[in-house]
Amino acid sequence: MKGNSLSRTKAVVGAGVLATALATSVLLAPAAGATTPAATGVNSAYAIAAKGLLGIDKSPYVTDADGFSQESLVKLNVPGVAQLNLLNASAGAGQARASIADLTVGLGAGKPLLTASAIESECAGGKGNSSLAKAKLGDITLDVAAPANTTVAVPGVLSVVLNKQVKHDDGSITITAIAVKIDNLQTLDLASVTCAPGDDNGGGGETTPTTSPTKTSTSKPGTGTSTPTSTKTSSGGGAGSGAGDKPDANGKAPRPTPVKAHLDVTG
Amino acid sequence: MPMTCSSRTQNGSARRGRLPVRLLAVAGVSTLALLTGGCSGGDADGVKPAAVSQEDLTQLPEATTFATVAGAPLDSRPAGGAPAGRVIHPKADMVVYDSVGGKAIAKLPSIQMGSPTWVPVIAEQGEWVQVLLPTRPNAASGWVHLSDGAAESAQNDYLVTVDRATFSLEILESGRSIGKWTIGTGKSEHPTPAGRAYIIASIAETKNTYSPIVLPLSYHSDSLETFGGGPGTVGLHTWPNNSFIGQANSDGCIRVPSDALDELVKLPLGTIVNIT
Repeated sequence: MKGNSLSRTKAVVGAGVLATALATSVLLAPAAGATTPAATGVNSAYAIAAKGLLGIDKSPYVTDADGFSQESLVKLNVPGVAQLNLLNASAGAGQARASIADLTVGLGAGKPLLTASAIESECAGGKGNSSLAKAKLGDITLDVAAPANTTVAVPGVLSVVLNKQVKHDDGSITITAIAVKIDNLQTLDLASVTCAPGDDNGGGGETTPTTSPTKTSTSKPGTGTSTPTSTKTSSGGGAGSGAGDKPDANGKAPRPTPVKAHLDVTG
Repeated sequence: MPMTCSSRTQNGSARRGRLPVRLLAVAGVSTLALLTGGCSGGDADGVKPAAVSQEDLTQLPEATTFATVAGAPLDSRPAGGAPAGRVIHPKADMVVYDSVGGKAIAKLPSIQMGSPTWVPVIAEQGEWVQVLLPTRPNAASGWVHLSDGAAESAQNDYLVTVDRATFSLEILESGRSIGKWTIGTGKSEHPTPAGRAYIIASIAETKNTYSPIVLPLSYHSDSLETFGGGPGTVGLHTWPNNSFIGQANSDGCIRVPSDALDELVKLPLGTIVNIT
């Protein structure tokens, strides 16, 4: 049922709309945006960023340089250009996520350039993925799970890369659900995450190895004191979850370890 | 509860056979498309979760303190429900449904503000459990299907009770009081909401200096949509001076003496905090 496959270089209706709307320079610098680049080894995420005549600082933008961080914007409206809802970004515990619900780009006369009911990117340990729900580029319905770096070329004006995945020299990776480029003029990145490389053992973070192997052991008669197995970390558990994600040896809920993070509670 | 014998099918679009990177600990995702035609009769315990496509998953809100879940069934016993019991930890995103065999309404991630997610179980039916969610609205709950290995399960013997009228907080272990303190609550304009909340995470706070550790609860302020950079989450924490003791002067949080916090931080995540 794929009448409009991504490989067709079909002109996308509405491409000119965005270019026209960008004639006036618009700069948005939401208070929550941070401009310092992420340090090596951190995970980071943002829902939207734009460079060019239309400038939008990464919003919301979080890194885990100082512990787990999550931010959410109910909506972001760039008059005449874009309308986005429920922008989310979180980073920490070895992973990062970014998502947007209900977005429209390229408002103005004619059909929108890009619409989607939800887009999301996530990564952990140097790997990740993104997905698009009900996304359309002009008339083209975009695949929910496009292969990494799927490009859609629009002659003369735009290129769009879906599930853009860039591996950096240090082994970290940046995954962007939709990366729009107007040649030499304008870029727009939607739902982007960056993750530090994973540990060699595939686990996350700075957890210490488990103190005992997973084999079952029967107690030997005549043994002296036997210390119970204490599993301090997860082996094969969720990325970066570390201690406190399993019941203790008696099946009781574990004592939590406070995690460096920031959340404004109501005081 | 109606027995769903038939099939909720996958949508028709062709999958390219790629599994999502995150392991979805739910039967019925991607590759498990159809239930077989024959139904085993009237065994409600065997109700399978509705298949959820990757597109559906992408559209489901992530159940964290920042989210609002539309259509979430509410805790039917928010005033003094089960004191203690079972908590579960999803090992990867888990689909949350509005009923046994019902519609997907959210996805519960494996972490909450960096802590591993632990949610309290308030009802069970076969392989399904009803859990409290960390999202708005207050008392939001949902049903998850515990297929093999989808979640860790543990017993939690602790309960916290908060009585706003008497400004008291008590910790109980297996029903026995192990501590009681005089605390502070929300001012009349921004009251601490009543209900069956639970501790969602343990935060070693890096920016705010009023408390070294903050225990955010599953409940949110009814009067504040947001607070600072957060979604109006009600928290348990201490305060740099004694101005809070026996007073309703916070913006919704429950402020506790530091020796109370020392005990509260030992409690498992998912511990219910009954606020009356």
